[in-house]
This record gives sequence, C-alpha cells and structure tokens, in this order.
Amino acid sequence: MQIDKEINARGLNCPLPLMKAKMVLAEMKSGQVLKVIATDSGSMRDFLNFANEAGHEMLEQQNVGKEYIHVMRCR
Amino acid sequence: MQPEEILVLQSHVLWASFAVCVIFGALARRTDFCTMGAISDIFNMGSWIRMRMWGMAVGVAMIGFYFMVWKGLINPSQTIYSSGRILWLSAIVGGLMFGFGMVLASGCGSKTLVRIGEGSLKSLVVFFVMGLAAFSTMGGLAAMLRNNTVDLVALNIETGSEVPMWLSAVFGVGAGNTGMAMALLVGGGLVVWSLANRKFRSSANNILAGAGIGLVLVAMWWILGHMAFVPEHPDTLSPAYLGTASGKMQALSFTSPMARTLDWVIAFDDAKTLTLGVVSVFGVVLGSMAYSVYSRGFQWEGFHSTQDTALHIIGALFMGVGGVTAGGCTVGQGMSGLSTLSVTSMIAVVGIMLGAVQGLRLQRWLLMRD
Repeated sequence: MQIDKEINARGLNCPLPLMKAKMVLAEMKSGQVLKVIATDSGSMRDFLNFANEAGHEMLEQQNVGKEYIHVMRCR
Repeated sequence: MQPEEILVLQSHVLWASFAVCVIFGALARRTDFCTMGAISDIFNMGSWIRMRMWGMAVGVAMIGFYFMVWKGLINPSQTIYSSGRILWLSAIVGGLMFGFGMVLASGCGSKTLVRIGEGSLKSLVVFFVMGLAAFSTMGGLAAMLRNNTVDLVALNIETGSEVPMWLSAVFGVGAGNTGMAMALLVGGGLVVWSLANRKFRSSANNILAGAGIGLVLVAMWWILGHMAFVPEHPDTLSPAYLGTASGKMQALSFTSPMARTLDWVIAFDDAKTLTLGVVSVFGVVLGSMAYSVYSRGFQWEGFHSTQDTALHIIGALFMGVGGVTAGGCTVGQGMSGLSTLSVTSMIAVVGIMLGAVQGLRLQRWLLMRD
C-alpha cells in the first residue's frame, strides 16, 4: 500500500493526534492515503469515529507494541 | 448512637465508597468515558456519541437521586450543592478556568486519575500540581483572591439553589413530588435523547458507560446521603453525614479530594481523618489500574517535550484553581451537582464547556503554528 503522508503523533494525548490528522487531511487530495502513528490508546476509537463521521475510508488500524497505527484514505 | 458505633459506621461508609469508586475507575477506563473527550469529539468531528454517554449518566443519576428524595431516603436540602447563596460568578469563572485547563492537561480530574491507573506519569504530575493549586484555592493564597473577588458576587434565594425547590415553593406542591416529576422530565429526557441515536444504541459500550456511571453516582448518593446519615452525632449533638470533609451530603467530586489526599499523605501524623475524598482518589486509580492490567492496556507514559510539560502544568493549575472556585469539576458540579438540578451546577457546566472550547481553539492554533 502506498502511503502519501505520515504523521508522527507519538507522545501526544487526545485530541491532539486527531487534530493533527484533520489538518493534514484537509490539504490532501481525494484518494490519497494517510498513516498516523500514535501512542494514545484512545486514538483507536477516536480515529474510527472520525473516519465514519467525516467520510474517510479507514483502511487499517493496528496495535503494535506501544503504538497505535491508523491508515486511512482521504475522501 | 455510641462513639464506637459511629466509628464502625464511618468505616463501612468509607469502604463502600471505595468499592464504588473502584467500579467508577474501571468503568471509565473500559468505556473511554471522558467529558473533555465528549466536547472534543463535537468540536473536532461533530460527533455527539460521547456527549450522549455523559447525558445518559446525568439523566440516570438525576432520576435515582430524586427517586430517593421521593421515597424519603435522602434530604435534598442537605447536599453540598444546596445553598441559598448562589455564587454564579464563581461558578462561571471557575468553570471557564477548569474547562480550559482540562483540555491542556489531557482530561479533567477524574480522567487524570484514570490515566494514572493506565501508567501515565504525565497525569501523576497533573495530579500533584492540581492538588496543590486546589489546596491554595481552598484556604491559601488563591483563596484570598477568590474570597475578595468572584465570591463577593452572589444571588440570595431563600429556597436554595435546586430548581425543584423553587417550583415547590411557588406552586405549593411537595418537594419530593416536584423533584421526581422534574427528574423524570429532564433526566428521562436526557436518557431518551441518548438512546434515540442509532449509532449510540448500536454499541453496548456506550450504554454501559451512560447507565453504569449514572448508577455509580446513585450508589454514592445512597451511601453518603442515607447510609452515612446520623440524626445526632455524639460529639456535636447535631445531625451529621459521616465520611465527608464538609459534613454535608455529597456524591463524587475530584478537585478538592486531590488536595485532601495530598494533605492526608503529608500531614498523616497530625491525625488527619480519612474522608471520602481520599478514598475516592485511591479507588478510581485502583479501578483503572486493575482494568488496564487485565486488558493488557497498562503502559508507562511520560512527557515528550518541554511544551508538552508546560501545557500540562498550566492546565493542572487552571483546573485546581477553577475547580475549587466553581465548587466542583466535571463530575462534582457537572454530574453530581446536575443530578440535584442545582442552578449553580448548571452555570458551572456552561462555564466548563465554554472554557474547553477555548482550550481546543488554543491547541488548534498551537498545532497550526508548528
């Protein structure tokens, strides 16, 4: 999978990873893929809700060690 | 009641409160129940799901509180939120400060305790700073400022700060009946509003959070309003509510309890009495920690930059000063107070929400600047 942009949100607490992703997504083109790496466990729920509400496609969410990785396609 | 019996009853009250607070901590951790998160979800993505959790919890607590009033189990005029002197300016200013602070500090008082249980050392620092700021606002330097400014402005209403008491006085209907009718209308309305949303209903987690946290508050009202009540304390020969620092009936709150916990730990030799505040702080941390370990979600977390540290410390200061000034936090004024239909609590909640929005705006600005 080609990742067009990646955000390092390690160490940031809710709602900062989401706010950061929202800003980057606003500048991305439709169909482009964003990857966010966070360490806040609440980001799993936040990003899934955000993708559903905003119409972005959540391609992948996984927990690897202490990190939570979210991959979504811009609407 | 003999002094020995009082000590036994007080011990039972505190153990029961501790057990309920452990459940609160585990539930909040399990369901991601978070007031700041609820406001942030609306601000950032227009999602009202977590606000519906909050609304349902308040609704359940309100119905439970006034059901016990209606059955004559508790006296609504004896709560910590009931006062004929409505400090509306303190409630709005304190609420604004608290709401602003909780965004910078990654969550309100209860969330801070839940996060400590998850392994967050950031939240441990927030706890110490918030506790000190609250202590200063209760009886120190910041208290002088509070007493000589915002606390001077008040609205005196003889019937007290609860809306049902006003209506009861105006229409000459019993307070119990008026309260129960209002709780069914307002509290029931909140529960229906929450459940009316399909997305909310589709997740058992959301319903568990709303109903569970609401029932926790009802349990606390029963423990501290009914079980802890002594008609004549042998020391004072007056009615008393055992286990509370205020001597009045209360449910859950987390700002002044943080200060009281620090006081209890530091000045233990001065025979500091163990009170609800102290056991609630330890209970919530333990509940969250137990669930975190059980779900393999426990992980150590520290500050990642100087700005991160500074924002958390500033947020904690705002929460400590604001929480005491407003008369409570998101759980104190926000849920316990609202469940009594206190107008002061309603004002404080509006302040907390407006303050949180300003905090979120600041965070957005900081991100854009970076």
